[in-house]
Amino acid sequence: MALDNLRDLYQQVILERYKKPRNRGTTTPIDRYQKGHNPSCGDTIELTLHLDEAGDRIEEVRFEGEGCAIAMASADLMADAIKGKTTEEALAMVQCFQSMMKGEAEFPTELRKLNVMQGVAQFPVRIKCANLSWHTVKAALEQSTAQPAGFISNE
Amino acid sequence: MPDQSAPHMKLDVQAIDCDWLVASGHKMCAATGIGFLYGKLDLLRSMPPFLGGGEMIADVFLDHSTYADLPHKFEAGTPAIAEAIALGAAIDYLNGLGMDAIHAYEAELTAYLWQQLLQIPELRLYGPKPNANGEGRAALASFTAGAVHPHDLSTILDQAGIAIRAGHHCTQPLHRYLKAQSTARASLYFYNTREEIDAFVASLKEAIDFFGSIFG
Repeated sequence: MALDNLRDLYQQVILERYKKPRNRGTTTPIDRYQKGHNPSCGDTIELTLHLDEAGDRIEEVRFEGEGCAIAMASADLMADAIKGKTTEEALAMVQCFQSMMKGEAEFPTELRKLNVMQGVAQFPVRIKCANLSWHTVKAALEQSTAQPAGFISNE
Repeated sequence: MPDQSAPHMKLDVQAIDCDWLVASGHKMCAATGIGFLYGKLDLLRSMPPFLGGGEMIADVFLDHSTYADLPHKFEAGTPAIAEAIALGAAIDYLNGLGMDAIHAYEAELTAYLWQQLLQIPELRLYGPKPNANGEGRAALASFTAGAVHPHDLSTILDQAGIAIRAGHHCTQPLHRYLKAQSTARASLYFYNTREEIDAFVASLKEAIDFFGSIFG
């Protein structure tokens, strides 16, 4: 079958993260909270962030949720990548990720792990799976409190 | 009465004695953007028009209007002409094949599909099983496949040239009730074959093995 073509999409790292995510859970304390979902496919994510005292640097990122391999691996990689970053840096990464999904950019060396998601750009219907956690973290970072702002929809 | 059955079997609205019946053109070999609504005459007569426009009026005055007869009363403005012609052609085509023949062939395929799927232990199949003749349910199967998320499954099958639907299928409350985050659905129509079911089942098993080996 065409499983060989699928290796581009289901890179080993993606499958490993789907099987054994490193950032599942909820942060303590919760400084930002955001739910995201893809209504047509049913994927959901609940993202929590712990920020530093100034409220500017991301100390901890955790997610809960249900979804496909692409959505869950993307959330786990995103959580790793934005940990320790400032809000501004993280929002720039959101933009870079979304450009990558259009095939227009890739991450620099220090963030190259995120480039494993590049293959998704070849599968247009799956882009929203990869983008879900990034949409959600953007919404979370644009709030100024931990109050949930309802669902952010990816469609 | 929302109707998904019009493309698949002979329907007699008088025998069913339904007040209303709707169907979509794009589910019965026609174009998108058109469907039809059947309503009982007395109900349609009792209802005011829902939209104003060309063709739906009889006499128009400054302070009142009278409306055209049925069905024009409900067909304001320029109709979807090309789509209506396409729907007519599709109905002629289906009648040419014979709705009874379509239904019988689909039942045969349904029996075969379910016979194959019931042998895959990783599957959870939703809805009633067909009887031995493939009757008692529509010509499709909704399912989940163990560790393979429906969306991953649909991409994998797509690479093998097989189109299925993955997600909520416009039934979020039902999925909530079934405690299924999403499901996959393989739907058959009269143009499908046993060989295609074999190809689908083979690819489905490969996908289950592919993800199964990861979760080992």
